[in-house]
Amino acid sequence: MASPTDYRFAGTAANVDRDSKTAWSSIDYAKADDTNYAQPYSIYKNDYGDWLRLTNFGFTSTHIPEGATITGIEFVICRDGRAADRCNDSALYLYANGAVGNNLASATKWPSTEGTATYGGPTDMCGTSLTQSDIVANTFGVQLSVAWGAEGITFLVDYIKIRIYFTEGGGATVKPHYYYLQQ
Amino acid sequence: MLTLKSTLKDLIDLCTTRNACKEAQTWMAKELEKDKSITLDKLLAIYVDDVNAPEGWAAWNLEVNGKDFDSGVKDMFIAKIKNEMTACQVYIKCAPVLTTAQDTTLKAVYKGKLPIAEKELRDGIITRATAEVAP
Repeated sequence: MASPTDYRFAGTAANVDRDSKTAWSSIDYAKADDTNYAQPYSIYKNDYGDWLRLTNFGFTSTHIPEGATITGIEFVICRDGRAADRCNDSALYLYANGAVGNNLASATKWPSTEGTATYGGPTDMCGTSLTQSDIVANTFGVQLSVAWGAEGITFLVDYIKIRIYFTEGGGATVKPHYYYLQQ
Repeated sequence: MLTLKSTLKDLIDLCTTRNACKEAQTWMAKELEKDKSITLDKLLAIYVDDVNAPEGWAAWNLEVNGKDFDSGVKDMFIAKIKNEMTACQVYIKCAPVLTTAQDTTLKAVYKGKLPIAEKELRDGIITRATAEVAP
């Protein structure tokens, strides 16, 4: 069975145009679990916003050895709709020099207070066939666009963090990193 | 009840009372200026083809005004919806005012493109609305 890396946070945040929609502000705040937030502002009703693209998660061959087989990708989005029934994912993709895999957007409304949603998992590649070299590249990450119903409101993203499940070459069980630290 | 033979003025009146967004009101005002007697069949054909006309307005209309439109008007608004999550949300929220054929049209927009959302619907994590949305 594969074991996960630690969760890692993005080193790079960018607002990327999506159909000339509303831009995010304070995007760098999505790089850390703290009390600061990235946020889009809804100009129009029933619309969606630009991409919040987070990359450079800092995975290296120390975290995922060369030759390892990626078995799953899991990421957590900490977000706050600030009121019930206001917004939801519009589109959500893993990113590796371009959107890859499935559109992972959930139709569930964001919570009215800060809460997390987990996507992917130990055996879920999210519709990709990403390799170790794709994931250690600083272009690996995730991009999110949000949809909303009302105008003139904001929503918050605290952070997105990712962890990777893998087996070492040959399919051997991999111990979590803290196992080695204890030796 | 607005039909395809109703006028744009009728639609503007309805949208104004329901607080339509400025973007939609601006677009409608521009079309009214071009043709003061334009009917909804012609107007909505222009709307569907106009790449600059906001798709979100179709979703808003179906959600807020759906019960005031006949099936022909709803068909035209549904024809505008190309974004898969918009289609999925309209399918969820507007269930009470959609026909089976309209359900099928919306599902065709998002089917196979939103695996997580589709699973949420299949598993009952998300359920379709059972009552009309209040304006």
